[in-house]
Amino acid sequence: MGAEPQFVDAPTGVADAEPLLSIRDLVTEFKTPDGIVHAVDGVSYEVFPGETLGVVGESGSGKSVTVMSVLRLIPQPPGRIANGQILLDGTDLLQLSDADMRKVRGKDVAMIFQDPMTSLNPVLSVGDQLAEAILVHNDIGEDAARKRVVELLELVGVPNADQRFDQYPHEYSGGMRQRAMIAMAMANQPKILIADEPTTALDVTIQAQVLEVLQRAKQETNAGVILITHDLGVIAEMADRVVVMYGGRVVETGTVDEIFHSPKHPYTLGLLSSLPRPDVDMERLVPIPGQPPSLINLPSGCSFHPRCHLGEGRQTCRTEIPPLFELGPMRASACHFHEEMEDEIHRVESTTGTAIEGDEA
Amino acid sequence: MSEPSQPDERPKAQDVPVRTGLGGADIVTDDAGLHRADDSGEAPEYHDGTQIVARSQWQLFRRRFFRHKLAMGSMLFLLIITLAAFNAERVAPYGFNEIDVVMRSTPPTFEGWHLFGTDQLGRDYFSRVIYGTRVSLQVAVVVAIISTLIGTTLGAVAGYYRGWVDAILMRFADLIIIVPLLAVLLIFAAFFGQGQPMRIGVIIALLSWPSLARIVRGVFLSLREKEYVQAARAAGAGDLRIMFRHMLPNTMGPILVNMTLVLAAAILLEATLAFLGLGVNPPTPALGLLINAGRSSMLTSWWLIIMPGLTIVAIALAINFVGDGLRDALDPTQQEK
Amino acid sequence: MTAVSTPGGMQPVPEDQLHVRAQIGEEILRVDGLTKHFPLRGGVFNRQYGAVRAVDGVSLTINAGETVSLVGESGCGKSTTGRCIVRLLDPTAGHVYFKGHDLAQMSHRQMRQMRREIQIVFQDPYASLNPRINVNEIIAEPMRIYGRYKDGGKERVKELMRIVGLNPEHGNRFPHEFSGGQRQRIGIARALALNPQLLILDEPVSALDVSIQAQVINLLEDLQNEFGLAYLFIAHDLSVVRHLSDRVAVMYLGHVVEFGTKHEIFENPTHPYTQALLSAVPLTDPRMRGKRERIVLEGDVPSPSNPPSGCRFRTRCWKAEDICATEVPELIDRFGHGHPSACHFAEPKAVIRG
Repeated sequence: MGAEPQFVDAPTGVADAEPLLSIRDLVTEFKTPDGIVHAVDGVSYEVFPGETLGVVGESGSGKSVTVMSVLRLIPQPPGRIANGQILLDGTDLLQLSDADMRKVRGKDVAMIFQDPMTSLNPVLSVGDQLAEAILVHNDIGEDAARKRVVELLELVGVPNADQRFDQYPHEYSGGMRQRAMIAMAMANQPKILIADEPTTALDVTIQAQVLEVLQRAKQETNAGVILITHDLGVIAEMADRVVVMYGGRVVETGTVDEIFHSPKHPYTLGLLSSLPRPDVDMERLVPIPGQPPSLINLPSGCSFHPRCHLGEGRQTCRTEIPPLFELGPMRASACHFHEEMEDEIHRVESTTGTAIEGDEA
Repeated sequence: MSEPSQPDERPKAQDVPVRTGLGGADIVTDDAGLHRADDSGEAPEYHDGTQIVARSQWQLFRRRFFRHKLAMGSMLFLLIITLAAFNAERVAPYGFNEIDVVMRSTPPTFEGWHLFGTDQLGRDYFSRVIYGTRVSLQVAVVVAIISTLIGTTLGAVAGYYRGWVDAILMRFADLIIIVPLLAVLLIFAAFFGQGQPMRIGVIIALLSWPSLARIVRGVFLSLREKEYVQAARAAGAGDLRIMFRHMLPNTMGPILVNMTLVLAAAILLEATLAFLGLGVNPPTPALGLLINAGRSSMLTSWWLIIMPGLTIVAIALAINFVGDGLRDALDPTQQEK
Repeated sequence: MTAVSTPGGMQPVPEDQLHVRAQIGEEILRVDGLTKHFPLRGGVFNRQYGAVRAVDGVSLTINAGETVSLVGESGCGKSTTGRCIVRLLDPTAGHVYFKGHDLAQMSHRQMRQMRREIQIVFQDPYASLNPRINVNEIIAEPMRIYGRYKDGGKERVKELMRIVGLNPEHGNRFPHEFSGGQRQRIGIARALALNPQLLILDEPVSALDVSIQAQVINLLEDLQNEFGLAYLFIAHDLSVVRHLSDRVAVMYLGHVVEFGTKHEIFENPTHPYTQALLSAVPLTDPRMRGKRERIVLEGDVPSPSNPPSGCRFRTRCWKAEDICATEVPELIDRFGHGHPSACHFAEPKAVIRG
C-alpha cells in the first residue's frame, strides 16, 4: 500500500489565504508554591485551512498548553490565560461565554489526545460515545446518528464497523481506539483538528496506520490540523509547516523543508543533530548540552542561551529577548544571530557525518 | 571541527559570567558540547535560569506540613498537653488527691484556680485531668509503639514473601480483626487484674496491629515491583537489605499516619475501659476513671463528666488532625517540582 | 559451581578467570532456547488455565565490547528476555551461559556472585532510583553489598559521577532534585559501580527528550569504548538501535525472527516483519515523503497467551501460505545471504529508503 503523494511545500494558496485560527500573543501561567510557571509566554501562530501545522518541542516547551488554551481547557486555578487573543474565523475564543465555548469544542475545534484509553469512557460502547458527540451538536435522530457513526468508523478503517459500534473501549486495541478517537474528532466536520501526540503511545507499525487515517481525516474535512509531537519523524512525514517551541516561546517557523534542511535557530539544529536516523549511519550525535530551562525562572535574554553554541559568551543573547525575525513569508526565527546559522550547520555536519542541508531532491 | 567565525562583539573568556546551578553543572563531555563549570559566581545581572533550590525530602515534608494550619495548631496543642501532663507535679495547681475543704462541689471558677471545678471531696478536677492525661498518654504511647512494631513486621514479611507466608499471616490478622476487642479486653482484665498502664497498653496493642499490617503489606506488594527495588535486586542485594533500606523507608508515610490513628483509638479505648472500671487502678486518675467517678453526681455536678470528656475528645481530635497533616505532607503525589 | 558444557559454545572458564575481563570480540554471553511463560490463574481454586508465552525459545550471543540490540514492539518479550538474563525473573526453560556458566541453573546464592558482572539499567529514570536515598548512597550501594565500599568506595563514587558527567559535589542530593537525563546518568553510574562486563540496557533513553537522549547515547558510546563493555540494548526505537548496535535481533511475539549485523538488518532485511517495521519508521527527511514503499500491516499483534500456530507472524503477513500455519520456521540462514531469518519465504529487500 503506497502512501498518497503529499505536498512537501505548503499547499498552494496558503500564503495569501485567510488564516482559520490565529493565536496572538498568548500567555498562560500556572501558580505553584514555588512561583509562577510561565508555560506559554507570548506565543503567536496561525493555521490555514487544509494544512497540517506541526508543533515541535520537548516536554515543557508549552506546545500542549498552547492548544489546551485554545480549547480553554486549562484548569483554573492554578492555571490562567493572562493575555492574548485566539481568533477562530475572526471570533476571539477567549471572549466567549462558557456556554458558547462548549458549542465550539467538538464542533469547530476537535481534539485527539495521546491516550485514547483515558479519553474514552470505559462503561459506554464506543459507538454510543461517537453518536453522542454527533447528537450534542446536531439535531438529528438516533438512527441517523448511528448510521453516520458507522460511516465514520468505516472511513477510519475500523473493520466490521456495524458490529464494532456496540463494543466497549477495552474490546478495541490501542490502534483501533485511536482510530475511533479520530472518527469522533471528525464527526462534526471541524474547522480545526488538534492532535496532541496522537501516536506516542502506539507501536511503530500501528503508528503508520494511524497517521494514514489522520491524513485521510484531514482530506475529508479540509480542516486545518495542528499536529503536536516531540517526534521529528512524524513531523517530517506529516506536516506542511512547522512551529518550533522552546521554553514557552516560538523560536522558529517555516515550511517543513526549511525546518529540516536549513534551520535558522540553533535549537532546531540541536534537535536535528541529536536525532539518530534510521536510514543513515551517523558518526556521532551532537546533543544540546545542559538541561531544559525552568519555566519558573526562565533564563534572561534568549532562553536558549545557556545551552547555545552560537550564543556562547555573547552579551546580546544574555540580555535581550530576541523577537521573531521575519525571514520571508511564513518564515521566522527568534535568534539574534540567525544569519550565522549556515556556518553552524557546517560545524555540526562535520561531527555527525551526515548532511543536514542535503541536495535538493 | 570548524569553529564558526567569531564576530568582534563576542567577549573574551574572562568576561563570560560564570554560570551557576545544577543544570549548568551537567558536564557534557562531547565533541560539540560545551563544558560548563559549576563555580558559584557573583550574581550577574543576567542568569540562565537553571538555579535549583536544593531541598531535601525532610525540607519538602516540613514545608508541606507547616502549611497545614489545622495540623500545626493541633501539634502545638498536643505538645503543650504532653509537656503539662508529664510535668504534672509542677504544672498542676493541686496534687491529684489534695482536698480543698472550703470549695467542695464547685463548678469551674477562677477562684483558687479550680478551672474544671471540684468534686464532693473538694479535689481539684483541673489537676486530676492533668494527671489523668498522663496516664492516658502513657497507655496510648505503649499501644502505638507495640502495635506499630508488630503490624509493620508482620505486614512487611507478608508483603515481601507473598505465597503461603502471606496467606497464614493475613488469615491470622483477619482472626484478630473479627475478635470483639472490648469483650476480649474485659476478659483479660478480669483474669490478669487491672492496674498498670503498661499491662493495659500491651493488651490493647496485641489486638490492634492488624489494620497496620494490612496497610504495610499492601504497600510492600506494590513496592516489590518498583524498578528501584528490582535495581537493588539486580545489584545483588539480599532480602533484608531490600526490605530495610529500600522498602521500609518508603512505607514510613502510611506507618506514621496509622500510628496517629492508633494513638487516638487507644486513648478512647483506655477511657472506655476505665469507665467500665477495668482500666488503671484508682487512685491514679485515668481520664476514663474520672468520668466514671463523676457519673453518680452527673445531674448536680455536670463538670465532673464534661471537663474530662472534652479533654479526651480534644486530644483524640488533635491527634487525628496531625495524622491528616502527616498524610498530606507525606503524599508523594503532592511532590513539588 | 558445577561445570556444564555448553552445546555449541565455549567451555566454562575456570572460576578464577570468571571475573577477569574478556578480550574484545570473545563471546561472553550465550542465550540458548530461553523461555518464560507466565501462568494465567483464575477461578475458585486458582487453577492454572493457560500461560502468557512472553518469551519462547530465544537464542542469541553477545561478544565482549559489542552492542547487541533486541528490537520489537510492545509485548514482543524483549524486556522479559533481559530480565530473565539477569535473573530478575526465573526462566521457565533454556540456558543463559555467562562465560560458559549457566546462570539459569544457578541457585540464588551462586547468582549473587555473578550479578556484579551483569548489571541492568532501567527505562524509567524516575522509578528506578529510591527517592529516599541520596545519590552517593545509590551509587555506593552495589559496592556495599559486595563489601568493597570500605576500600576507597568514597573516591570510587566520585569517580563514577565524573565518568557519567555529573558533578561529584552533588552526591548528597536526592534523586528528585535531578532532571530525567541526569537521573539516567545516576542509574548508569550505579550499574558501573562494580565494573561489570555486560550491561543490560532496558530502553534506557526512551523516556528522555530528544536532546537529552542524545547526551545519554553519546555517554553510552564513550563508556563502551573506554571500558570495553558489552551491551544488550533493548529498545523499540529503530533509529537509536541503528546508531548504537553492532548486531540486531528482531523479536515478534516471543520469538527472534531475524538476527544479523546492523547493516544486514537495516539495509538487507529478509523477514517480512523486519521489512514492515523498517518501512513504518518515519524518516526525518520531508523530501523522502511518499517516495518509498510503505508496508502497512493489517490488524494488531495477537495475544501471547494464544499465539498463532506455525509462524507467529502469519496472521499479519502478506506472504503467508499454508505451510506457515503448520510449520514453525527455523531461525536459519536459508540461502546463504549471511544471516539467519525465521521465515519460510525469506528474501532480501531494501525498504528503509524505498
